[in-house]
Amino acid sequence: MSQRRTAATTAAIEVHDLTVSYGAKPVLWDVDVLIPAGQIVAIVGPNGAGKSTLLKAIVGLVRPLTGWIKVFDAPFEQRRAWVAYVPQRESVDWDFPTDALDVVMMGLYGQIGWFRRPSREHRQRALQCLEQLGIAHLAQRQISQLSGGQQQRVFLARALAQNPKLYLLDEPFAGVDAATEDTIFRILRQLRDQGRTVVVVHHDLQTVADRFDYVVLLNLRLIAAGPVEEAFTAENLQRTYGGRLTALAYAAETLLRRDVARESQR
Amino acid sequence: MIVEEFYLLLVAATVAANCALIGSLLLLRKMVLLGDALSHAMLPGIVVAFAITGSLESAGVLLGASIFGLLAVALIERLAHTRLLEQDAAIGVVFTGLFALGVLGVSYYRSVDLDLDCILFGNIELTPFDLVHWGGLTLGPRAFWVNAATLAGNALLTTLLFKELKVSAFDPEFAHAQGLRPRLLHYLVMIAAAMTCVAAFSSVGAILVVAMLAVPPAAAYLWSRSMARMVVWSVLLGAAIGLVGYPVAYAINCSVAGAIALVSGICLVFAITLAPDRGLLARWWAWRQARLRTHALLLLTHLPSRPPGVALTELRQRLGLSERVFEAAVRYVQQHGLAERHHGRLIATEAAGRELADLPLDPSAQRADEREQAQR
Repeated sequence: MSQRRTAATTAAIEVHDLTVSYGAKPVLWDVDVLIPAGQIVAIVGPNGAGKSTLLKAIVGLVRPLTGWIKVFDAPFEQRRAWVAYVPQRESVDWDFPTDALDVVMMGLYGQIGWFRRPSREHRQRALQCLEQLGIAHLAQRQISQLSGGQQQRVFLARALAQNPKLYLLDEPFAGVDAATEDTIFRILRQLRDQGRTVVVVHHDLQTVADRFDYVVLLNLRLIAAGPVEEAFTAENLQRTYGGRLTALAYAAETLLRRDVARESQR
Repeated sequence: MIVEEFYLLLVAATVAANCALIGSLLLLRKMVLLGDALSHAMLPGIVVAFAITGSLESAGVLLGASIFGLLAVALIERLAHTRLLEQDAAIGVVFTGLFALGVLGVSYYRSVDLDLDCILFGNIELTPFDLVHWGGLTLGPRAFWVNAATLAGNALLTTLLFKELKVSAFDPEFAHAQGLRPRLLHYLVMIAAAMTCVAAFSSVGAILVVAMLAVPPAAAYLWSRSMARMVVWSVLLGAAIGLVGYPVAYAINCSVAGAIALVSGICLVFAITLAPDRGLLARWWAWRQARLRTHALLLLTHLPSRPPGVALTELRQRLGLSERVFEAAVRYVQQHGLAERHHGRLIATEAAGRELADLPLDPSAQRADEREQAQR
């Protein structure tokens, strides 16, 4: 396990001197970070820390004030087809008149190209992706009638349809049931084992240690980044969350200490 | 006279279908208000064209209106882009500003004969008399050709770029990341909306354009399960409303444009009430069924599964339900095989146990059976 991690030396994402500002107040300050390929990476930090902004900057949704970003050693524009971006579930209108299968098909629009129509093969491919997430039976269901967890599964299925090398997921576990969370993590692990890179903006500190390989701690600036065993420390968490470290975060911290203690006993 | 009536129906159907098509794209982008804005913001363009050409029936009016429609689009975009105002506020500010400019112009030229009524409420009754001639042939009303041309353009835009329009309306950030240029599509839709308003205003007037942009798409939206169906239904409904409007106007002896708006309003009321899934009636029915089921399950939790069961009056008092609600619940559990009646007393079946197992009831709470036993 750890050997494979150290073997993966190529960078999926290289962020250099990135500063992003909406209006007068910068939301990201001079961020330098290297995200290795072939790992499941968590981006954590308090609300308003710039986690989502970092993802948006990577896919060109916000224009940085300074700095540059490379995806697999090239500007994003040249790597579009390699990247699947999954926005926050709340960012779209789920009353839009369409069904689950149709949303998954949107993942193929980039490949299909301008002016062309999706074919039967595209439908088949989209259906397979829904199947992978265990919701093929909901293909014809109106998206407004899906539960939060099902909607998130549809979003991930759409990303799978793109068949990318890099997945960028913005809070895929927000408001999602436990079964969906397990399904999604199972698929993310499969993707990693196939050599894909998965970057997740994450809120639940308790699951970071068990479920992620690499962690980026962010609070307006980069606090720390590295393999979970090295970077996800109580000290770094304290520096990231500061006085705002919530009860939940404390719980994560104690969990972590216990795990570390157990590791050292072995 | 028959020919004129046919022309009038042709114009009304084309205008309404055209507005309904572009309106459904605007509705899915939550920008119906933009239609309102465009149809008002064109006024100064019309006045300027009138000042130059001295006529309201010239191509110059269409040009002037187009220029100001596009100017309004650009201003709204720039203003919203500064993030000083939200999009809806930007629309409101720009269109009232330009409209005010137009009103000033109209009052300045009033002495000359610029009819504000005509601009606001249109003059569809006169369109059959403004005909296009080519060689020795009469090719039908000019308003028809102007609107048919924009309709063709809009239909081409919608069919060629259907999937791009869909994804950029549903999830613009995702579309952008995929390289599908949602901003470019946004501008295309805005420009198409401006051209549509310009083409339609001389027939139905600036205000009625808004009704035609908003109502058929809103009704189709409530009624449809996919964007393709919504767009098609919207266009068909728009055309139908246009066709029905004239006979109604004739029957009640009022303006055709007004009758079209009236008919579309009635259609919307029907759609809101009767639409499947989202309609008021459908929602009320779903809510009623859900409440009935809750009452029935509540009743089951108080039902013993062994004889002698429980007497109905006793059960009703225990639950504190009104007679009507209680009887409906009793009927529900019997119809669904959840309880049986023996000598006027009610007993739960095995199926009831399975239903209740899925409920988030406190597991430590006593089952009805045990309660019954304890009482004895």
